[in-house]
Amino acid sequence: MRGEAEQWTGAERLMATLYLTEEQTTVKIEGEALRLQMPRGQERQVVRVPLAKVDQVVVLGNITLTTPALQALLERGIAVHYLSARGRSYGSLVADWGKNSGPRLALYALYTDLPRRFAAARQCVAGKLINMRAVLLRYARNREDNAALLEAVQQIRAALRALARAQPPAQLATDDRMGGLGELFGIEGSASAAYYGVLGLLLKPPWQFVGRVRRPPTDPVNALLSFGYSLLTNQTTALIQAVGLDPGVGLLHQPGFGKPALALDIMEAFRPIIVDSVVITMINTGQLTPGDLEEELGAFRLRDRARRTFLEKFEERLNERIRHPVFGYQISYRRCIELQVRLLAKYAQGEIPRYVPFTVR
Amino acid sequence: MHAREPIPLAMLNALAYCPRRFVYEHVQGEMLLNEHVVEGALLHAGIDLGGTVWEGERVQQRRVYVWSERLGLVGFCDLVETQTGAIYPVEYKKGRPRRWFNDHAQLCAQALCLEERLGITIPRGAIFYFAARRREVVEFTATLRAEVEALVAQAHALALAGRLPPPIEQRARCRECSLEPLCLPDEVEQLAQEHAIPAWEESEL
Repeated sequence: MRGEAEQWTGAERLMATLYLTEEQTTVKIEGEALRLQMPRGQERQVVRVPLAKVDQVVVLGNITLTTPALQALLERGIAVHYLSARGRSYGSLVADWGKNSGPRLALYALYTDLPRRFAAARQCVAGKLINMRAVLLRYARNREDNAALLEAVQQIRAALRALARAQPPAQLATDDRMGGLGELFGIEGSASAAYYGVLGLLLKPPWQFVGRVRRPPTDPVNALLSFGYSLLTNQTTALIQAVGLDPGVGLLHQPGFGKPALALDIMEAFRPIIVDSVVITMINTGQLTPGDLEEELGAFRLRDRARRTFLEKFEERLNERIRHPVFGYQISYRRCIELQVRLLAKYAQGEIPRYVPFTVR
Repeated sequence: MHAREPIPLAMLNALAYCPRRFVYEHVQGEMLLNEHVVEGALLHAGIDLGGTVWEGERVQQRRVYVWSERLGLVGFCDLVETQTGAIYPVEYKKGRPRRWFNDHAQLCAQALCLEERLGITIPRGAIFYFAARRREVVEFTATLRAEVEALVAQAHALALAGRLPPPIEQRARCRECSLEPLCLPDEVEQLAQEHAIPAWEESEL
């Protein structure tokens, strides 16, 4: 097998996300650099960022990129993602896909092959459950009053046993709106309920969390989780597009208008270990305080300063290097996500017999 | 029946290096940069400007478009040189004379194209290696010609099939290949042996 860290360093040095968060900023191209002009009165009114250091751009809020700047970015295959200040995705500007149609067709074929699709979808769910269990166990070890956590771990374990037994229907009913994957959704739902039911116990008071609420998140912790999941969705979508696959057609998630179903499939396993762990750590180390979120008619959003800190911590986590559980070499979480995309494409093309989820111990 | 698409000459080089690289590059249109690729592109920047230079007896034509109807090939010669009646291709490569025959195959295929266009026989050509700063003369022997024709046939067969061949056994080539991060030869080999992967279904849950 490949040796230690050196292998991917060349590819990963370029992996950097430029987050544009300052309202009213104008971004132009100047030689081989982006020139960021901040609104008047800002401390550093002009910042230059070399294009060679940017792998993708995330635009949060009212910020203007000129057409020459966008062209220069697209020419270099750098995607530009537009998000609302809350982290909701408006969409992305991506360079042309090239002629990599083979893997895309293989994935579409996999979508219509229920037994193989079911097998891969089950692995996506398994990755999520195994990693949720790992997060809970990690915290349960360090505390006395861990009965509720261990109870949730047991429930997730039971869900994993049910998952191992789950079989696709022999015949797909014409009115099956779950595409034959209903059992997987049921198992995933019960395990997630057990996990989110105890997640609040991991947070230092006065923070509270009673369960997952989306659209809109009606408490600060849910708002943080939603923001983090949005960022992760964008990262994963960008990686899928870089690999040349269609992010809109997933295996577990049903395709739907504007839904990056494949990104949601791939990121299931990464939600607990990337987003949840960043949120928990920031809260427990005091990097976030309840005052960092403001309420708007019952919905919560991060204030600017806290949002910047959150982006920094999220990026740090993605760039954190770990030992890959299957291949044994040191790589970043970001490259782990990309590997999962590539492995799924190889499973679709019949190169490997099984899609193996990314799991931690 | 599909019309046979011509194979770019540079892709023959890729095929001689590794069939899997050929399908990634030629069929799937994949391309990644590493230091070898970037260095090669920089060194080529001066050569890729077309034009003709007369130096006494010697005529040099740069970036000459060539093709072969018979073999289904198309591409460019970096340089076609004419000297005292002899005409031959010269290919520019970064690095040193190589252990592998891919550069020779690419050059010989250029000669086959020129022969078909001009109705002549070209006995030899040359490769200029930047790192060694010298030309290596390559004889277009009957053996090399036969190998190149077999390579062209393999290229058309692979392009038609479109499937990825398995990773090659000579992994030393993988270490220098820019496509390794997406080809994942070791990872595919490991995961292809299903029993080698820890399965969560069978573990103590």
